[in-house]
Amino acid sequence: MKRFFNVEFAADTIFLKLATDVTISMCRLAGFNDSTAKDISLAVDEAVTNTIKHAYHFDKSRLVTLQFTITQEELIIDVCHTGNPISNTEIHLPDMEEYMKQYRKGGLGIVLMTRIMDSVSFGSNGNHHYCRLVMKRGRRHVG
Amino acid sequence: MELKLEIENKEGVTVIYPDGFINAHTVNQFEETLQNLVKEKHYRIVLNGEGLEYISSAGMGALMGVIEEIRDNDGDIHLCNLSESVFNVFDILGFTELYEIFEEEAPAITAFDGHNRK
Repeated sequence: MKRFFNVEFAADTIFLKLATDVTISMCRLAGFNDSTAKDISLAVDEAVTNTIKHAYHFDKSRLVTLQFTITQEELIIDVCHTGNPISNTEIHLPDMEEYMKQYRKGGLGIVLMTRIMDSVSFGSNGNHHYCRLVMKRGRRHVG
Repeated sequence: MELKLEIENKEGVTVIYPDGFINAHTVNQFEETLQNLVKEKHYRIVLNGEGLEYISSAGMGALMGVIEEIRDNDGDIHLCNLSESVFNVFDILGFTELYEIFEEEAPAITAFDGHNRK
């Protein structure tokens, strides 16, 4: 059986904390321990921030939807928008060794997302675009 | 409350006490504080994370934005009292290699004694 929960809010960074709080609650509902729940909420923070920044260019009149789906095997979180799409091919993970040598400051969000989640992907359905974050409900994450 | 930043001077070291969370919404305040400290030539900084609920990549970017100038002036940023989840963010990114992290504030301050005073 699948369980769904959606929440929609304006593309305003003031709602980031609410988005992470909702994510923590959903992670607990899916049986993840507190530590994993906090990590997943950080990945959501990064995905929502990317959406506000890159898909909507800080246009607060636009909407972001978080779609949570809990299945037997995994928690799927879709960060949905109707702004500029981001494709999987546009995502470049920085070389962290070089990154630290050069004291660079951008592009860390995608690194966090990919290192925390089991998978991160981007897709579109017509004019609706999403960043999909997936975490397996394995024994290692159970509280 | 989203983010409150208090600053104290202890033994020639500037200690920042963030209370709340650092994300894309609050990062400007954090970044401005760091940049003002550097402008005022405060190059020995301790970030005491006791009240820090969480930090996203935006906050890590703010630290990266000043660390080069600080180290070029024989200073550094030491971190202490990080919660498990905040430490985890530094660890996930490999930043535990880049910053010295202490369990408590006192050693984070005295660790500067080995550095040349500017």
